[in-house]
Amino acid sequence: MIRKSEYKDKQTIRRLFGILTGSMMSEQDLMNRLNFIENSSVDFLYVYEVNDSVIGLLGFRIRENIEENSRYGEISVIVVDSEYQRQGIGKQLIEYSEQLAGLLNCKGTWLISGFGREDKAHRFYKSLGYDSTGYRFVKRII
Amino acid sequence: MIRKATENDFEKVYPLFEQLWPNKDLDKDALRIVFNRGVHSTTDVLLCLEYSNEPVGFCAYAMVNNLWQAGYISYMYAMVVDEKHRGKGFGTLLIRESMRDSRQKGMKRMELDSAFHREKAHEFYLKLGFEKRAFLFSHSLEG
Repeated sequence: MIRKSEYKDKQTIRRLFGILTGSMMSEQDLMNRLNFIENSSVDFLYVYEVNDSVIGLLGFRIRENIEENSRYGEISVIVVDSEYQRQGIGKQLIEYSEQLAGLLNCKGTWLISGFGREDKAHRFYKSLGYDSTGYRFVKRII
Repeated sequence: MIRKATENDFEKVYPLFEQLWPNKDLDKDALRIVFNRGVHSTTDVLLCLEYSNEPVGFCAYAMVNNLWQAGYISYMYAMVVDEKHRGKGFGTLLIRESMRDSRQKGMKRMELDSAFHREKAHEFYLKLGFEKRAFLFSHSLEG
């Protein structure tokens, strides 16, 4: 079952973020992130739950696009617990984000995936009809 | 001179959008609405670079919250310099001003996406200290 995240999920969310990034964030960091979503009108966080345990996470954001004068749904975070990967849960989360995007009048969905995830993640996105079209450039300014 | 764009700049900035997205059927009226919304938004900044009293450069960025960074980042969603005025350092001035302003507002980093074929733009961003970090994947819900 996919549902909106709740306060009680917070330690699981922290663990899932850890799987994604490879390091555990502090309690404070976690609270900052959750408060963000709470206070944002365009960000949403969902969890995938099986038998009362949360094993997947989906962040979704509405993004306006000046080029096409349109909105897109951004998959801001997607992660499935290591033990439950390759069982179609990620696919269900992606499809859920596409349904949300459709309901919210978005023209499509997009996501950013880092270099070094070619083998697993990139192949997975391509299998779901995603094409890579460009690069993300980043500069630290502080 | 770099200054904030106003609604009045749209007509003169529009030809720059045509240069930026040459293969696109632009809907001018719809673009004007997005432009004006940006001009009046509290999270977006639209900048014009003027040369001989004409806007020859334009960029737009927005403060967006970022889950990964647990903070605000500055996301640049449009950046263009008139073809006739490239190679004069105008783009660099626009980026520097955007970074200065974003830094002052407490944003930790600046991000932007650029399509594979824009190789000149990629060189330009790398020269300014940007790193190529990730791929952009997209999926259309139409058709």
